[in-house]
Amino acid sequence: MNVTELEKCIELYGKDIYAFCRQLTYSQQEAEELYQDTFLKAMELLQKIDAAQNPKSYLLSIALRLWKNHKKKYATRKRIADMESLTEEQQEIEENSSCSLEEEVIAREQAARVQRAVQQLEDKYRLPVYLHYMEELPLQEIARVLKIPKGTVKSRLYQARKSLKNMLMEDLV
Amino acid sequence: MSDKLDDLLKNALTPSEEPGACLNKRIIQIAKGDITMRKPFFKSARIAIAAVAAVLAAGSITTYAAWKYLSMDEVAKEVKNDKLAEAFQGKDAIRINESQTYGDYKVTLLGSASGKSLTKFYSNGIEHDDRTYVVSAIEKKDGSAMPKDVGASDFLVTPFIKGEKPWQCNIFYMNGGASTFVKDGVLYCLSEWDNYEVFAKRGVYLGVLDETFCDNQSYNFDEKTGEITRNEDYKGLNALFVVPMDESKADEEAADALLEQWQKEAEGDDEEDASADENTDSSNEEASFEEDEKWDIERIQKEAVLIKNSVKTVKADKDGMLYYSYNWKGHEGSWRVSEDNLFREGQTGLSECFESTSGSDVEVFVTFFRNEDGTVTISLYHTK
Repeated sequence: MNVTELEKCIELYGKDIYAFCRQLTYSQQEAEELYQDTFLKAMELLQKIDAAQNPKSYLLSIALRLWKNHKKKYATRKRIADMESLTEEQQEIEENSSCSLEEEVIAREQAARVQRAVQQLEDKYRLPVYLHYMEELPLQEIARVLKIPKGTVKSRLYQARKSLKNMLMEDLV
Repeated sequence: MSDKLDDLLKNALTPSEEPGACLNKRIIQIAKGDITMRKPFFKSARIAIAAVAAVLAAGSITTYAAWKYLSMDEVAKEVKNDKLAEAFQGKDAIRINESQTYGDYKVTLLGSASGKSLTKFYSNGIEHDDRTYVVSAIEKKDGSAMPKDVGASDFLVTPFIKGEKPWQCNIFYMNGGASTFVKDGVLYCLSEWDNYEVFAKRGVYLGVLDETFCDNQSYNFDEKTGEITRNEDYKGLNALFVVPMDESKADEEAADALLEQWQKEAEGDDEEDASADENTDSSNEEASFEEDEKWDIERIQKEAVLIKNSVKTVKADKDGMLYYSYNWKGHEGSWRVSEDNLFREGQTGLSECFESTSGSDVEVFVTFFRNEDGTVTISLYHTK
């Protein structure tokens, strides 16, 4: 892959890959490191990304592999990031509450609740949820990224949804 | 309710943040070779310290005055944890202030504290409440300042336990993590893992590496005595501190239980789904997520088809690593796996561990069989 192709890849998939990195790592700094490493590793590994082979899945699997290698360290900053993000979130809500619609604030709070619920899932359930709902990958691609059988992906999504239903009971009424 | 949950998840997880233009530009610049991965090191203004550090050559151990470093509680405050800062000031905190210089770096182990409910650490969704915290300072041997973007992914600060192989039983195994920051040219690492005070009688170490992983190149392990030592031939930083412990906190039974718990957790990281949920939901959407296939080594042997010409016998290299690659109808890969991860000590025969990859139509499984002569036979199977 040459620099022009890398630029194209970043343009096409950058937002999706960044979102995935952001959820995996919880902190912006670590997400940026992981995002950067993902594209540089992709360039190192491949002379050319085959467009027919779903480059997005390929990039997601690289991000996942890098994250797994550094998992404990990325996880380390979770608690600090949580504290920071909560503070920022609260500030944002406070700032907006005076000038925005109440519904917008409620929606944002609800989204935060859902995100926190997903974060509480074990990795084996959390990752398929991100790949399915955030990255909108089909089951077969999720299986390829996670290197598990398609049936297991189905099962994990089923279990994840079951847990999330319990956690988000009030939001589902 | 299913649709509502889908909507909730989609709305909440739809990417809203984008990578900054600067970040993308930086990646392109690195790819072009215009800039290096790390910012160049810059000279420290602290000449006096540089002069002292420059004397330290190939390797040395000293007990240093800690005046020039942040104190342990100041480090905790930097990461916004006042409770931990208090613990570091308490009477049970252990102050060490020992320095070692190897490779390009000098490491100072400032000290440690252990306790419950000082941080909230989750691993795989489980809260780990009882923890040990260690503060160390890493700086450049030549006195120049550490770059500001250096962090937890550049160094590994890890505990070891006497009697346990360091490349197996380390920070990753013990649910560890670290927060780092650079201040006045010094990298401070606040590392934490499950409380290991129960190992006080056996003995514990702290290793510091300029690597992300701990392998069997950096430290030696004596199988007979359980002693861990530095590999003197290692090129780079591989500091090793013997951590003083309060022996009154030792508990052999609890130590064994903790080792067992870590082992279970490590196995759990890789395990496939324990069981499919029997709950049958009438919703089609729900049904589509139910598990329809579950493979284990026995089922592979019985039901999958051995791929002709795939069987290979290999021998682990001196580090215990097996290498193999395959390419079958679009399923391809080159793998490196530690023999220790596949077989128990002394085990021969078929490993319960297997690799699997999913393709568009079939799944491919890789199985491992250890022969009496120590070689490992690798076979590929595919689903029908």
